[in-house]
Amino acid sequence: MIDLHALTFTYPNQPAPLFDAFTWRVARGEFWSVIGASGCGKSTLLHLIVGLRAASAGTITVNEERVPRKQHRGKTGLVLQDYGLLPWATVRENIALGLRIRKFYGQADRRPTGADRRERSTVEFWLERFGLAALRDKYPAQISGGQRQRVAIARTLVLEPDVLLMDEPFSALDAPTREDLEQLTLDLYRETKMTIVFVTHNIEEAVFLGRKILVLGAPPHRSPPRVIANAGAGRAEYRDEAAFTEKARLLREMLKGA
Amino acid sequence: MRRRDILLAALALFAAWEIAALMLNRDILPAPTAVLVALVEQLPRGLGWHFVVSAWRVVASIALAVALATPAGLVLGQYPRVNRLVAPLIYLTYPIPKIVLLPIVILFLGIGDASKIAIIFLILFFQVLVVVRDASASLRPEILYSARSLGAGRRALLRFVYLPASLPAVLTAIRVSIGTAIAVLFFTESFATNAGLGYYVIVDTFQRIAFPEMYAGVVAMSLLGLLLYFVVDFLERKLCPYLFVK
Repeated sequence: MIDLHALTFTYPNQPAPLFDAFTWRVARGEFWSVIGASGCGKSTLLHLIVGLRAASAGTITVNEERVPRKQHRGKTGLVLQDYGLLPWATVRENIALGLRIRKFYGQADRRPTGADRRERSTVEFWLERFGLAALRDKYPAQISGGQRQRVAIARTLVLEPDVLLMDEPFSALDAPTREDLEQLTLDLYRETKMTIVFVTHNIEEAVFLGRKILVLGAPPHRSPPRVIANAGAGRAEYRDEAAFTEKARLLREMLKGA
Repeated sequence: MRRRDILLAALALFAAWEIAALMLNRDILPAPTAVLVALVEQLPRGLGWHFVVSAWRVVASIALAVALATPAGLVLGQYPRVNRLVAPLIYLTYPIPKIVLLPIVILFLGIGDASKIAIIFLILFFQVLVVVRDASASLRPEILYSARSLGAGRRALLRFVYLPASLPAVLTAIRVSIGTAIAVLFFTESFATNAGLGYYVIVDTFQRIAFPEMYAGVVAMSLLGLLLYFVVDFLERKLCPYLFVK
């Protein structure tokens, strides 16, 4: 569960806050879309939840743990539009990065051989699951955008996150690849029951994926948050249904009004 | 570049030299074959030792410069505030031709190995410092965000992100500085010493008018530079294979 309580955040050199006593709650296992125009603070919201930025007031807790999380470092997965892969590391090494960081800090199992074996099998599992096995020794520059994003997602899943934050992950991809990865995201959600927050500026994508949609207008964002219930999301057929078109229209109007 | 091409280029150089020597026909330009004979003869009789001394001095300087400039550059790249303090200092001292500091360095460190290593170190230190600083400051934020979201704190970022990101820059800095480093080494070895290739060429053979031996010393100095070049290339292929994939 993600709990934002009276969160206030202002960028340095900016007069008005981006979030002003903003309260928002995501229950465990929910799939949320977050939509808003560029520059409205969608990415900042995710950065705050993962602990990359610190709020000036208010609290953020993820699964009853204050952010930044001490005990469960790396348990909040973050997937970015730009992938953020290490260009000098192979696909396999990129996927293993989180585990290597854990080992570096000595958080892993004390028995080194067991940890190594588990690392290998976890990484192998995700390479297979994401269809990346044949690319394991390639560098990011050698693979396509869709494949890079698969690597980036696999890299977070290796750490068995309880929360997955996705920041416009498919915006740079062509339509077929994009739909492919949207379906993969839904499949993962069904398999893992993770809490997912998916940020996008694409109305159809927001409606297709999120069972609930948080609409961010122009900042500052205050409470109560504007939320659309979207119970039909999460099925491949949803795109062809009248309810889908209706929700998209509603969302478009809300964004225009904002 | 392929090895065969490099070999062909070397052969072409030697051929041009051979022709020039034949045409000039004077003892101040011995033929490359004569120089090669002198090189082989002189290697066990002192030239080899001078080569080792020079190589030691330049390698020690490189190692020292990399060992000190890399962490300093990483700090400057990650802490803009520290960089703002230090940047004007670097700006002022960077363009100073370090060789003019030689008399001062000799006053403080004496005429032994220490002053020679120190002066080459100064040249390399600034080169490496600046490229490591710039490489770590220009890292794409997405890489840092994602590594941090995977649990990396400052130490892990250094180990998994900043160090590998600045490695190619360090190797490039060494590569572009090797020429200057050896030129400076040659100069520092040309007086007040009795070991090193600079001594061998300027003091020993030149003054004895032993031309083939002198040329052998020049070739040895060139080989030293070439060898270091090869080592850097080899390290780059070993340590940064991602730079060479298609």
